[in-house]
Amino acid sequence: MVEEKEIIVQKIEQGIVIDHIPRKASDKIIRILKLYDRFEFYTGINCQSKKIGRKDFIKIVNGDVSNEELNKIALVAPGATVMRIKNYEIVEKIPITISVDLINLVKCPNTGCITNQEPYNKTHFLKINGNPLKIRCKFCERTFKEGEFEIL
Amino acid sequence: MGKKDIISISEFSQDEINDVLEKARQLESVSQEQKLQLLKGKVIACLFYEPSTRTRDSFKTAIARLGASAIGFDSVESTSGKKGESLHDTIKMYDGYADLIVMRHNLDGSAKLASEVAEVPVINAGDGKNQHPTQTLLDLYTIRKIHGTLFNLNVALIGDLKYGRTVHSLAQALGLFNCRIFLVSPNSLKMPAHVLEGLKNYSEHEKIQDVLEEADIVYMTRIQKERFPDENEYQKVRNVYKLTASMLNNVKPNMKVLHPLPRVNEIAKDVDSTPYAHYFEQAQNGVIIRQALLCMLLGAKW
Repeated sequence: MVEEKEIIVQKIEQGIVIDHIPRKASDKIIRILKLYDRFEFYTGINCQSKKIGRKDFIKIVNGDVSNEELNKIALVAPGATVMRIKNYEIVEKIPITISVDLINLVKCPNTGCITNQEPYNKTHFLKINGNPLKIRCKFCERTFKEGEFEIL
Repeated sequence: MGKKDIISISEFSQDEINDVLEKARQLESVSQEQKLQLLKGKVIACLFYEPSTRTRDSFKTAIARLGASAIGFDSVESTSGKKGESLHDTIKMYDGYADLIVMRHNLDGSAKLASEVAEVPVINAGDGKNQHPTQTLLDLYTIRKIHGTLFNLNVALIGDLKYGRTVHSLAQALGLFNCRIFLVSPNSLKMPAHVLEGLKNYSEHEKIQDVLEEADIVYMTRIQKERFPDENEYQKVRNVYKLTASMLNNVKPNMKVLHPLPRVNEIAKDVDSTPYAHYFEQAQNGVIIRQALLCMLLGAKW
């Protein structure tokens, strides 16, 4: 829950709040959710947090997130919490966990991987460990840790 | 074996490996005439995007002696891939022509992609730096034939353990059988961490002499010149990681030396005439293993 004294930016009437974003990860979320093209949003950058020391947060006015987007958020901002807001109140805390199959979410960092060459091919990663995050490319079989891969 | 394709040794359980090796053993006693009936009338596409004389000819021999015919190409120069056709489209086309596809390709994961595109079975004959499962199965078959088992053996893997995909897959597979693995390599060519992660019982060494007396199998690999930034370093390593007959005085009586071939000078010629040399028999086993896999995937019974 966002405590009263942590609220630095105005409350939103309706939409999505992504809180407890690890520092510097809010840029990535803004990019992968294409927020500039889609919604009005407010950000808090490098704020104090009891839970994680320093954090970022994003409030998306009248926004919503799909399951695929929740997966992407979980990939770039592990530990973030996502809440749905109606009438200025939190009506739902949406759990974010990375699903086992990550299809077309991650670009394979292995330049010798077929997924970087074939125009029609999708990428497909399997989560092999959640914390710390470790994923394996279903094609080239290489494993990658958090920070070693890019989100598509 | 319930598999449609043979893509990676990491997809095999201990039971599935045993099943393939056992089927190959049974196939050895089938007569040449009977074998010619097993895949009679079948068409097998051999798509070699990268030159590989040994693997290609081992497959082609296996195919011919099972009564099937081979189509395909031996290098990317002669294919529409050179005209920019995607792997996806090439596979789609051969999927319509052939009963099974054997593929060697320079990119990692290409075999997996092919298996998803094709409805017919796909056998990976090497995908970039990733996997070469039929080589691993023939190595396992050879080791089992020598010692009667794969369990609890002492296996020394020697030479380039960093770039050699053969030794990565072999180490993974031997781990399933509780083998003790000696890893012998120069510091710059050590087994990568991601392979070590999957191994339980191993030790790392720099000298061949440290492990020879305890080994049941000595598996040599080629050290390639292009892996070294300077010539001196290469020459030093090349002479250290060389097995000669005089080093074999105190080895176990049933120890055998294996090598995926081609060798350069990591096994001296004088080893060939010792009772320990087994690399040419090893290469021959490639045909029977590939025959067993072709038959299993195409549902032939013997």
